[in-house]
Amino acid sequence: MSETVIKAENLSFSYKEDDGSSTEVLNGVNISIERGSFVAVLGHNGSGKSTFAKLCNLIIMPTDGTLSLFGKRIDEKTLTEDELFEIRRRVGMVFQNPDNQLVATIVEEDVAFGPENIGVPSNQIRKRVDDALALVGMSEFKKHSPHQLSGGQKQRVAIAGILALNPDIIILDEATAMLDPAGRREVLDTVHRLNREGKTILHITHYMEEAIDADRVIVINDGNVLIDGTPKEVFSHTELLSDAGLDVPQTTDLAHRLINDGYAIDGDLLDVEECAAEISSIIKGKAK
Amino acid sequence: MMRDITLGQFFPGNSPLHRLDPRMKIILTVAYIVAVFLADSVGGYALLILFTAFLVSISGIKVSVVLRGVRPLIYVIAFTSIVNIFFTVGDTPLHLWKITIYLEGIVTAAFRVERIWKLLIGTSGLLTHTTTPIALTDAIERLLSPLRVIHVPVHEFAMMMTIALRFIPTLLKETDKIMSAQKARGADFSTGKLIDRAKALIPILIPLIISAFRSADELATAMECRCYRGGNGRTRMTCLKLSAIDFVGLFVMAAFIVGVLAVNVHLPVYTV
Amino acid sequence: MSSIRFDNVSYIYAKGTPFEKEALDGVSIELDEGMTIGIIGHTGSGKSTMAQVMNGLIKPDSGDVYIHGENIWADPKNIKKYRFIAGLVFQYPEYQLFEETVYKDIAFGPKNMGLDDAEIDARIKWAAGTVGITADLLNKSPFDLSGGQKRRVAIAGIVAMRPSIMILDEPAAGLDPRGRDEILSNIIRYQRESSSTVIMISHSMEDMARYCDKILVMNHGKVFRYGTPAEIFSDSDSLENIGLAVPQITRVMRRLKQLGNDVNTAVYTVDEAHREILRLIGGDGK
Repeated sequence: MSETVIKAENLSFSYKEDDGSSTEVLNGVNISIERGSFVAVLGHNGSGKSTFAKLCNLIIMPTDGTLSLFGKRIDEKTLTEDELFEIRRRVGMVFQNPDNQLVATIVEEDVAFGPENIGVPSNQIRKRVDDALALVGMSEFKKHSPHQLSGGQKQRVAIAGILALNPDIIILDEATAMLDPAGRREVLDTVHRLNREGKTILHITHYMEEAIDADRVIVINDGNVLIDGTPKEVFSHTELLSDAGLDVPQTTDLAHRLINDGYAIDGDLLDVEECAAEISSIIKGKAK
Repeated sequence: MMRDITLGQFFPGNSPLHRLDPRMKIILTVAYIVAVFLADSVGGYALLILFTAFLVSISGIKVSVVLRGVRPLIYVIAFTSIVNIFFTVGDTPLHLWKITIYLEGIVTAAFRVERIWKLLIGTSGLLTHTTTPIALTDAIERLLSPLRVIHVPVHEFAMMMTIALRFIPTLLKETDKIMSAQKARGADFSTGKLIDRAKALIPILIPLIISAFRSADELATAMECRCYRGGNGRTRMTCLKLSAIDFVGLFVMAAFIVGVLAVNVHLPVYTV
Repeated sequence: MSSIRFDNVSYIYAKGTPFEKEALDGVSIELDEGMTIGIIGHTGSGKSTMAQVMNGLIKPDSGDVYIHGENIWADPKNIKKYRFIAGLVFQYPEYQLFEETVYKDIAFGPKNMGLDDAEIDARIKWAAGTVGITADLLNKSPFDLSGGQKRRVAIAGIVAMRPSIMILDEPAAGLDPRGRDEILSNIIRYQRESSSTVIMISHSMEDMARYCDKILVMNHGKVFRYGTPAEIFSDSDSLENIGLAVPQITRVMRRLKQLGNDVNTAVYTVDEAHREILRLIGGDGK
């Protein structure tokens, strides 16, 4: 069994409103994430999915329940500043707006920002920066200025900036929400490649098609885990998903309509090929 | 319109000026400014013009680009000339129709204009055009670092400058977008009385300020996530190291200043 | 009659700078009136420029733009009038909100039109209702609303100008599926009730297929195709050649045909696919 890197038990988070009442965003969530996995976290806006991400690198602290990172239980009272920053280093985070997370005016300087912050010796930073840019395929842009790049390229630079810190986990907090289809593709291809090289990926999104290739999909709704399983298992719950304000792939939608019509067909068809083959056999079966 | 301003913009290149250590470049720029003020004879000015032309020629930046950079300040120059021409009283009156001006005024004006041009070309053309903003802030941070002893927040100051430079293009784009969006709702920024035009800016300024605050907030979080905790214990990727070319630069500048002083003393053709 | 007509329109973006780019390259197109038209294409295909040329925010370098048959640049002094006839909702329009209350913000456009207070009041209430903003929100600050609500307030600001043509640049960008469905169905309802023209830029083929009567495909600053969704998606090969995907469901139908089934491949929504498959299964006579 591989190592559990994030373990949330009964994890809750709420914040105080101006009038003194408190609003619960996460309400007793139980999630554990294994090292090396690619987990998509789906949910509509306001479901609590981003709050979960922010808890994972301690931008915010849980209000109830326990959170363990890399096998160590987080206790706000005893956590030192050095430990906090070590966790931030190991759990890298890429945010939604590509413009608001790049610090420097030159791509390579921006990627160097993280290693500089943790005091990596100067002669090692250069290698880290070059390696990180190569991993996201942005080496040729290292002397560019961020405002000359497309949204997808900026997000890849942001990922390189995280990689230069050599993290264990990379969290994409709706990092594809503001991108066009080509940019989303670029970013997803990049993180899938990083995942194959051993990084644990937590991809927070509301696009179901981005979750299809994940190892595991967790659907969060109203501050709770609604469904947790493989993409096939999760997308076969078409009604639950649409109640949670999410889409299902058109193939799964079609299969479910045919099931409701009384045809024997798999309810967990995700790709076009499988779906067409199944339906074809039904059509031909009937024709005989 | 805003895109036309080249003042302060970096142009990539590999000229001797590009290769100078930014710290040395800042020191040499200060020396150059001193030289501009030291030169107060026609000979000194001639030398200054030659030297500036030499710097522009080795910078690898087109003369037209350098001149375009200083164009927005043409009004300052025009104003200075007019003031000098009409308000300088000297011994050599010239009668133009009903106005009397003095030869000294024209000469002073010419000198002043020259001086402003040189200053602008020296600082804008030759410092900012050949140095990346980040290298500049970096150099300033290092040059000022002794001040840390007396608790001047040098690092914070440099970081602020870096971020400001980073966000200028983003905010310009944002302004453009908000202006277009309000125009689509019938906003008018170009007609009406001054007060109406000022009022018309509110629908731009408020969204812009909100956007800037949102950016600042998100950036702060992103920086914390990348382990930023102030200047203590921070290292830098680029190590600034003085090399031969920096000493050549220092020598050339020193020779130039000595030259200007010598010309001033020995060839005082026309002293202001 | 056409809603908007382009006659050989060209526009070069950032002329004279290193970022110079031909955004529109000799575009001639006549868009229908009284229906929902989708514009699709890559980033950089000229879609967003096209939207701003349509309502006169950008003056083309050459060529003529007509709204309801009138050349909008015939007298540049009158250009503002056409911005009210062809209302443009920008991408992420919530970033343009600035007033203290939702009510005042929606009023901005109608006020600029010089309408009287009673008319403005009526329009605000109508526009808010059209986009699903309830009366109790009108006196709130727009900055206290949720992302989806802000977006609707911004759209109401254009709806209140009662444009006979409404142009929307990616109205659902960044919204979750529920928010997207609500916004898009409100827009479609508005189009039907007011029998105006809606022109909508989107990256989602599925949304285009579901909501649009006609689709304009842009590629490298030129018109690539203009037609009904059925016409556009029946030629999926050439769409894929320019890097645009057809809806997933259309790909299923094409695959079915390749597997030797006699299906109609010009199917682009799940509803249609479902019906088509039932026809095939049941059509054999039980």
